[in-house]
Amino acid sequence: MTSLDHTVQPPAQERGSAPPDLETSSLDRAMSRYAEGHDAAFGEVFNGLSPRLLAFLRRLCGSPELAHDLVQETFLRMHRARGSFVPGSAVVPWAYAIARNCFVSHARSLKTRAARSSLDITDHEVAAGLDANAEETAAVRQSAELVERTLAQMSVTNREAFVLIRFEGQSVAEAAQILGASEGAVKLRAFRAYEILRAALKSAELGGDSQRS
Amino acid sequence: MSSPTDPELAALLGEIPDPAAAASPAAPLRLPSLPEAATRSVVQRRRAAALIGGLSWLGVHLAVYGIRTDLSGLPLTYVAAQIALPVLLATGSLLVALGSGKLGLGLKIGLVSSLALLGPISFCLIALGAPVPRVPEPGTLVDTVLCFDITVAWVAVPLLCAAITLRGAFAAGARWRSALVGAGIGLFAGATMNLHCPNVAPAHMLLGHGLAVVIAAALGALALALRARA
Repeated sequence: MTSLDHTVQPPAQERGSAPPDLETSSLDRAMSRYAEGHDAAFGEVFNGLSPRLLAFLRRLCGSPELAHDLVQETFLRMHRARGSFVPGSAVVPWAYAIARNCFVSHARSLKTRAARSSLDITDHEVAAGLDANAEETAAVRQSAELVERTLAQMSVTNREAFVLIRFEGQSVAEAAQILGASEGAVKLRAFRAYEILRAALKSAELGGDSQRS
Repeated sequence: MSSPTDPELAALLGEIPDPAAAASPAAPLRLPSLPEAATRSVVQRRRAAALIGGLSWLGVHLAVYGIRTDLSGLPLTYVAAQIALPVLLATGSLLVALGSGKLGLGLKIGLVSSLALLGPISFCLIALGAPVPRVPEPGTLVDTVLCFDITVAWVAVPLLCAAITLRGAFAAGARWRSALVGAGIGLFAGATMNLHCPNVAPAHMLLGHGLAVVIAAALGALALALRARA
């Protein structure tokens, strides 16, 4: 047994360390070493990837607690599949693809139990300074909640395409590879999600305006 | 809808606020002890052994059952369509299914899915539609069932080897890639059967030889994918 115990560190950008490109290539090298059997490299992979995976899964599933569990599952699967990691390739898309598989497995198991968990939006804390304008803060909070609720209500295929491109900064080609779909299909799914979200935000805006007037 | 370009799409999507951007920082995440997992070199050795084992399984059986006696008298086009083409498609299928692609997530899914469908379909269409070199002998249903059983058995062991050695191999597009592995194995088995069985009746070729290829691809998509998905 390989006993590994790590804690999530803030993303490198926030820590003010190496630029993302350098950090990504060092992560790729660390994953390559880990795939070759250097267990010590796992710490680097874990620390580098876990914040990104946590954010990705949180956006996909809408629940921080569930995202936590899915990140753990993702790393277990990455560990089991480490021998299949292609040397010289990028670890981030590979990890996203595995994280997405974990999420899809979870969503399917929920579906079979016909007990899809509702989104617990109260768990999400939208940062707001004590001295911030209260109305503005409330508006930000409302739109964040609305986006999250609308994301949770749309189909998984549309949601994952949108999240990868909009929030995870993946190109259409990369998202297509991660999702195992054609670029055209991914573009269409992301656009559909965008239209649904835009319509939801617009109707909320109109509702807010009519209430004020 | 006219399809937006990538930058246009990114700009449009950028209008939507990120609900997680202002979320609270993540709580410490602890990873439990990890079980033993094969390293890359071990996985590569196992896959090479599985490939050799699978091909040997077919080769040994072909040697035991024998190559069809009428092979030398068959038109070259018939041999090319019924034996050489399936072998080429099988090799291509396995190469494409296991290809790493730019990101290490495999080759494009459009190519993978097209080949996964093209291989078995072309095998069946050729079995049905290729001009027969002579008047087919009156075959029996038992002959067809026997050929089908043998082809399925020839598929089963390599597919089992693939299931053992491809665990967690496909992070993305696992179903299509697994279907393609199944199709590749089925095509190898089908070509081997075409090399052994002298029956040229289209119905026999389709049901006795071709059906197993389709089943192999379906088993790949349904069963192998469960093991091969990372």
